[in-house]
Amino acid sequence: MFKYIGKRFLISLITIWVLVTLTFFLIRLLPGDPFTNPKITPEIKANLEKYYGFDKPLPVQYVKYFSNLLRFDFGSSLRYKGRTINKMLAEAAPISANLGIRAVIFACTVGIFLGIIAALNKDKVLDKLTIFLAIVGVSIPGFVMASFLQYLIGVKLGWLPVAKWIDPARGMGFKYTILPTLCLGFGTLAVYSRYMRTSMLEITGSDYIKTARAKGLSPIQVTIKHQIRNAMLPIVTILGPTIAGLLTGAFVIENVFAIPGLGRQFVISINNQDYPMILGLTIFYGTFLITMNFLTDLVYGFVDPRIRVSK
Amino acid sequence: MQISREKFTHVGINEEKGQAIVRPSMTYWQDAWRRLKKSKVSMFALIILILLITMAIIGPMMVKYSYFDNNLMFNDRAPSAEHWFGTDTLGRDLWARVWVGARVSLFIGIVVTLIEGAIGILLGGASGYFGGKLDMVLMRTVDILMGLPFLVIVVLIMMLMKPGIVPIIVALVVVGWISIARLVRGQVLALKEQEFVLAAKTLGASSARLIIKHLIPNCLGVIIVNLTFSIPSAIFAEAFLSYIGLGVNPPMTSWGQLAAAGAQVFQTRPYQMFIPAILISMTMLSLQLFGDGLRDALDPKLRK
Repeated sequence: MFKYIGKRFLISLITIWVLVTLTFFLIRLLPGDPFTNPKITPEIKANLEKYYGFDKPLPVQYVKYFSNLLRFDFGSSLRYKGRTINKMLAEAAPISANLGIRAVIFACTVGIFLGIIAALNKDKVLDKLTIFLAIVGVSIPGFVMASFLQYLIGVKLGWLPVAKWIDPARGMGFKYTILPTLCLGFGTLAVYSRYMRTSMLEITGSDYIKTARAKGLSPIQVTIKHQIRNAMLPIVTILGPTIAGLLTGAFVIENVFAIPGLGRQFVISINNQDYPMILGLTIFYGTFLITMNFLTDLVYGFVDPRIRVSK
Repeated sequence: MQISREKFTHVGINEEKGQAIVRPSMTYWQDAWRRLKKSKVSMFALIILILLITMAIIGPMMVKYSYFDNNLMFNDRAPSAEHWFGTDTLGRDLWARVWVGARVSLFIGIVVTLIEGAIGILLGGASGYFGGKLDMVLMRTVDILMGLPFLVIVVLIMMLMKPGIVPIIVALVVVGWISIARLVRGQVLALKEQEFVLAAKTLGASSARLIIKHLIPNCLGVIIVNLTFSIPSAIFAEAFLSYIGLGVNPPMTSWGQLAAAGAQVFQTRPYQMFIPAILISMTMLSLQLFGDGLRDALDPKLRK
């Protein structure tokens, strides 16, 4: 078990290092630079480059950036003078996290619930409906669904606000979160319901279910205590990738709904060619995802004893 | 009660009858095709796919407008007899644009899948077959690459190269080959230990023959199924890139870009988004359903 954790941990660390190095050099290779502006004379440009340390050779910049990173200093934005990336992250990350957690909860609970319903009603109408929903869910691009819901529920019916984000902690904001959560979580919900259904059906014929039935447990007890609990196991493995999917999904959703989270900042900084910002966001995202994947592996090792034995 | 011996006669073995083949012999692929034909959903999906591909080829030729001719006098027109899918904000005929976009989207989806399939089969196969150091290095690389945020890497690669079709393909292949390689490696590892491979080895088959004649054909089914699912994800990724402004160069277009452009004017002219969106969804849906059918047909182990 410890060997397994150690190995995963090492791989995660190396992955983070590769990510930082790769993005650092990729971004320095990008054509054009943020100081291309007719107003900026060569002297000003030289000064700016000196200010940001771009005049030094690449390896030196790399070491500097890396040592700053180790102190959790992401540098400052090129576009907005005096605005540090740490501050930007501190503002945007909680918003993304807020939306992300809502979407994860929504997608997991509804998805798993639908999967269970579908499996218990195999080949009946409810099952077919769930499968259909699952396929539709993965077949519609996020921004299409978001624009459509915005139009239908926001504009035509006027039930919910079209866009904007107000901190839900302040009471009024809840209705602003509903549409983004729905759009962000829908694809994942589809995947989860499908997974849960398959996983439930795989277990149906297994020996321990037969044993449980033979012991005289009621069908409800068998389903809840034995079938659902065991069927949830494979779901844990896709939690990491799910969160990854939700985060990248948030790129689009945050833009459609004008939510000032990380995804929106990322797209804005791409358009601005704000290199330190892109770099900071990529590393932040990446590190978060890698950590999530590591934690997923850990959790899976704990919940499924078979993993511990085989590794 | 007694049964006398005389009531029985010895028939003996009829060599000819014993060896006769009752049903026509079928190869694996014929068998798979027979099963696939039986699945109505898969056949329906296949027909839609063929229809979409045909339209992508002949669609733009059916109207007198090209995808880049703009006429600002006739911008934002709803679908009519003149412009079958209406016109966009710049007065370009949407029918022509939608089918040219189909060419681009489908081309990206198919080419990306073929290239990442080839790379994945080659590297994954070699890794699984030869094992040892090569396997170690490749799998650690895969472990690391798996952890990187996929779309962020694609965005970075897209920014590095100038926008266009080739960068999209490169970016998607760079992140896409990993899962195929992993899959092929797993398959090869499992097959390598099986008796028929041992038998071939005992008969003196070379590595090349083993790989080409025995290993690849046996895991091809699983690989094909997975590649079917990789086409829609490539089309999806392209739509995402177009949405954040990193897609193909205008006036060239793609479904993703058309849908993204349509999303801007969706509240007043919904058809501009709906048409490409429905086409994307239809393609995804058909590929998913076809892939499901293909899996059932190609992988007898999965059937219960």
